[in-house]
Amino acid sequence: MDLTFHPDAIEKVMFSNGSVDKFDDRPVEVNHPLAENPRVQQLIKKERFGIKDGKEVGKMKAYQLRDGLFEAIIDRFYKDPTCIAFGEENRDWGGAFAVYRGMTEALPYHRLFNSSISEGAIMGVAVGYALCGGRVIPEIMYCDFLGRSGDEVFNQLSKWQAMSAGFLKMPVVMRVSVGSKYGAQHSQDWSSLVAHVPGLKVIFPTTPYDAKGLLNSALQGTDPVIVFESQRIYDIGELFHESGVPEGYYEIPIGEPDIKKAGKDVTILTIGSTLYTALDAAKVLEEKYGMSAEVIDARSIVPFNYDIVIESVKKTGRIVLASDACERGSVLNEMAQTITETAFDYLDAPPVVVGSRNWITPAYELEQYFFPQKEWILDAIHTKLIPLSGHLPVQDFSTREQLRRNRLGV
Amino acid sequence: MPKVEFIDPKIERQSGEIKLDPIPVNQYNLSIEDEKLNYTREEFIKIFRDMVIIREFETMLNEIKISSEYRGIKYNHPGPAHLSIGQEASAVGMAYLLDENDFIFGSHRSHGEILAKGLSVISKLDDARLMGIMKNYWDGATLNPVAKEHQVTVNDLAIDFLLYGTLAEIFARETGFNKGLGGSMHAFFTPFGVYPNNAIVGGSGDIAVGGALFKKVNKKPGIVVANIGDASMGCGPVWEGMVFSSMDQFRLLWEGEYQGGLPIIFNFMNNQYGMGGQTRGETMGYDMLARVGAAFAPYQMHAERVDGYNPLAVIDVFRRKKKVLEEKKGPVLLDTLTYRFSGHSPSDASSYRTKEEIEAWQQVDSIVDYGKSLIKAGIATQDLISMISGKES
Repeated sequence: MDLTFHPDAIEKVMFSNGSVDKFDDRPVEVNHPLAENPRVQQLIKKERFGIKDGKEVGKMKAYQLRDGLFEAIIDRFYKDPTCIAFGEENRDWGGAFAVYRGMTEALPYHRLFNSSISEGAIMGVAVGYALCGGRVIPEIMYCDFLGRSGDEVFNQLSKWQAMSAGFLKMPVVMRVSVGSKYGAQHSQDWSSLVAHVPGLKVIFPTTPYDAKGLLNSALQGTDPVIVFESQRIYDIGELFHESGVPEGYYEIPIGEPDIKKAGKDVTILTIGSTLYTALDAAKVLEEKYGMSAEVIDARSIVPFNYDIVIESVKKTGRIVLASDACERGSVLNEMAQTITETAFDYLDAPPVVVGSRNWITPAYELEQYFFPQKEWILDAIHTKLIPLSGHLPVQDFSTREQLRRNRLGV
Repeated sequence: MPKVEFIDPKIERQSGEIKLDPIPVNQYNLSIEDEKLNYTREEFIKIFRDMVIIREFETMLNEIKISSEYRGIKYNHPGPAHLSIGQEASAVGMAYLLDENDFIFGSHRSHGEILAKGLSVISKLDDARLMGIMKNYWDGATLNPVAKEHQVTVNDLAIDFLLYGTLAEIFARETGFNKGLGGSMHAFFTPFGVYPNNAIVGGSGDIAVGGALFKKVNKKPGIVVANIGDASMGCGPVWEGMVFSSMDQFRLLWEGEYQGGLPIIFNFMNNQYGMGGQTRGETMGYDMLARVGAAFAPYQMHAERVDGYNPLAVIDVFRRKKKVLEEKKGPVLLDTLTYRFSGHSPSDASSYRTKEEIEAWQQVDSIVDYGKSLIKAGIATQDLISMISGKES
């Protein structure tokens, strides 16, 4: 292989970037027409836009993020006869977080089943299934269990398309939920770990509209996509897309961040449910300090198109990056570096990263000391970007403290 | 979890004992005379030829690694070459009955399995199909270099194609089966049912289960064989793969034609070492690997140990186990006992074993022994055996 004359020869086989409705033409095996599905019928009564008369619709009435995931997945089950899903408690239980509720009724056992508690095998079997020619949705119940499928994700799922020079496809949509409240081994956002490994696409939708659209893209594609889902917001309604989550099929391209709130004084780029923390911070900035923040939801981590982020920074000159991942080694640092290098002339100050502390995740009662809070975002802006008049920081974002923590590795 | 399965305390709390069935060990005892009912003369000889081809291929790689030269041709290969010299009967026996619909997944030490499976499939496909596969693969990029040479038959051309595609892959050439992006430890060629070989020990232990699941769910013909080493029994994912493949639900809960076990054989190519760690006696406690089958299900994964130094014994066990899978009674565990004369890799000084041990296995070299038995049974002449071996007197 001549990489001097064809420098993109390997680059071209890292992803297949296909668009395939189904991997076989035989009829799909389902237990009833989709319209007869109990959950589909319940969803008819839900509010597909989560704000009514200026107020948020109640949880019971709102079409939730988990419903967006459900609609994308059930749609694919009714399109692609090879599509199967498995993981822990995926069948009768309906998935630990009710994403699959209603699917047990719709699908025969061989298309949706409970696996043993074998995260390695869940991912390894998915890899084998996909490279033989089928589409598959394996689930890792908590992100913290990703370690148990380390080899299968890092060495297998990510590599076989390129190691086959593009001969094999890997249509695996791996669902991973990110927890909270349950302590050190059930509350970690490890999206940065998979973002580091070449060959994986990584998305982290945070609204029902994005969840359905991004998952549709993942399920239509031919590449391995890891979908992070925050347990904090499975029940959130759609607060941005005013026409509501469409009932029909649509795709949101993987790799495109989205402006959730326009602004001109400071940019806040978030990954995951920290979007909502950032929006709370933006509200305070506006009401208390007269600053207008532009809040951008990354939505995807790999690939990632920086265009709108750079445009935003050109306008605001300041950026905070925030997520629930522990700060050290967080992919936010990579994003901060890229923004610094590509928009240096427009920046008033270096980008600031606000992540979780480099600690174990403590109990729910102590989480406010661990996960980024809206006050932390304000503190970061105040200390490192622009002083907020009269603001009293609660977190120490000084350079001195930053170096101290690094010195101790905490 | 399923409500249809009632967990009754009266039954669960009863006293009793678990009874295990005896696990067969090297019980094949047919002579070549007995086997004349099962093989033609040509088939007997093909088995010998396939073993010789693998031996020579691996010997060539060994010489290139050690002296950067093979038969006067100089070549430097800095990359890996985990050879299986000594294990040929296990590879050929494993592949003999398998066709293009049967998928094999392997390990870092799978050159022999790739060739054995390829040779088996080539012998089963007609000329048109073979030409179609070869011409279409990378638009003929792998075929063209060998097509320039003179071949008498399409079959011969296909064998050259197989050897060339594998070797070019090992040497990271763009004409290799995977354009050189796989390499020695990951070469594969799916048109012949040779699926990815894996440089992570035991990596195929769960991936192959996915292949079997694909066949079951999509009603595809064929079986899946995971060729993994004895030392991979120490890897969690291998156990997870065996747990997954033996889940009760396949037999009890899956419906209609989907009911029944997965069509997979976990074929442990037991060369008795993991690098230098001796599995029986040092790094494992299983005494015999086949014992592990009893851990997973009442049918004990139909486990048995087979003498992997006798190609006919290996073919015999695959014939019987293939039937088990076709009856939807999988998975199966095989302990295919073998031995490599070559080191873990050519840089291996064999500090972990004695010269006497290597020589003792060379004394029972499967190629030599099988060749002798063919002569003794009047199937081949000494001249033919010498000719195939490239040792004309």
